[in-house]
Amino acid sequence: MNLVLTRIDNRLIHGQVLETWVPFVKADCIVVANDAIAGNQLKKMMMQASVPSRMRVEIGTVVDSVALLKSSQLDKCRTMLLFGTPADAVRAYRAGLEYKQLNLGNLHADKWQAQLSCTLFLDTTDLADLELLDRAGIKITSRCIPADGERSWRKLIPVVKGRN
Amino acid sequence: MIGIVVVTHAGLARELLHAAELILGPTQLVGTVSIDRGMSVDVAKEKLQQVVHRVGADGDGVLILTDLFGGTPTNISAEFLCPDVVEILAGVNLPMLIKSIGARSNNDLGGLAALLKEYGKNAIMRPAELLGTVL
Repeated sequence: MNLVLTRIDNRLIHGQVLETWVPFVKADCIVVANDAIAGNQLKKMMMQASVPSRMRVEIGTVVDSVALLKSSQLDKCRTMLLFGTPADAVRAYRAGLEYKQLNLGNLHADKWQAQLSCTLFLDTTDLADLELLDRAGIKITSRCIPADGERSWRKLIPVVKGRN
Repeated sequence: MIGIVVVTHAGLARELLHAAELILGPTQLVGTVSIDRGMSVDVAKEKLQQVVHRVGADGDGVLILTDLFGGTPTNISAEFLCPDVVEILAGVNLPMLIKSIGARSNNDLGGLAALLKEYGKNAIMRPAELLGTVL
């Protein structure tokens, strides 16, 4: 397993990922670990079709994706792993996936409590999940696109919402 | 009349329609949705839902024109895809938008989408080729 980027992005594969991150990290494989997309044939097909044909795309449930990553099948690939939520990143971690870094891209919790950047809106569950991963030694940083500066999530001063 | 919605990253949709109206004059049943960086997917879907509903008032269907296949505007639009009711074309350009406004009265929704897919591609021209300087 050669993870060149592990990212939480609730849009999963989209313009920013394809046009900036793929060339930036020179990925040749994208793994989307998302139960909802794995079970939605149209979305899955559209997502697969949006990726350049020279790249490998694997869209599966979190459990299946972890199993794939732990097997030797992707060993020769430069793999980008995408989660939709911090909860899925925790599920993967608990399922035994070893990753050292976690990039935060787009996150919009319904009832968000803390805003870390113009694209990161977290609720209390998200914060607890990131805390757990942080304590496990995973380096968590905010960087929506490569042109943004990379900042440790701990050093970002959250704007806390007064209501909700 | 078939309704048309342009859905793009940032203000491109609004400006594309602005440019089309500069050429054609005011249009009817054409809407735009601009998806900005900080906008949540849910908010974007809600906005699109409202505009699709508004431009689809005639019941002749709605054609959604998006900027980039694989991008969020297209991904969100895909949730509305419903043959003969809502169609999507990704890769909108100004010729395609202008043609869609003119050609919608002579076509049904599927026919319009098929016609515009070819039209938009054929509208890409390289003048140097016309001059014969590029072989």
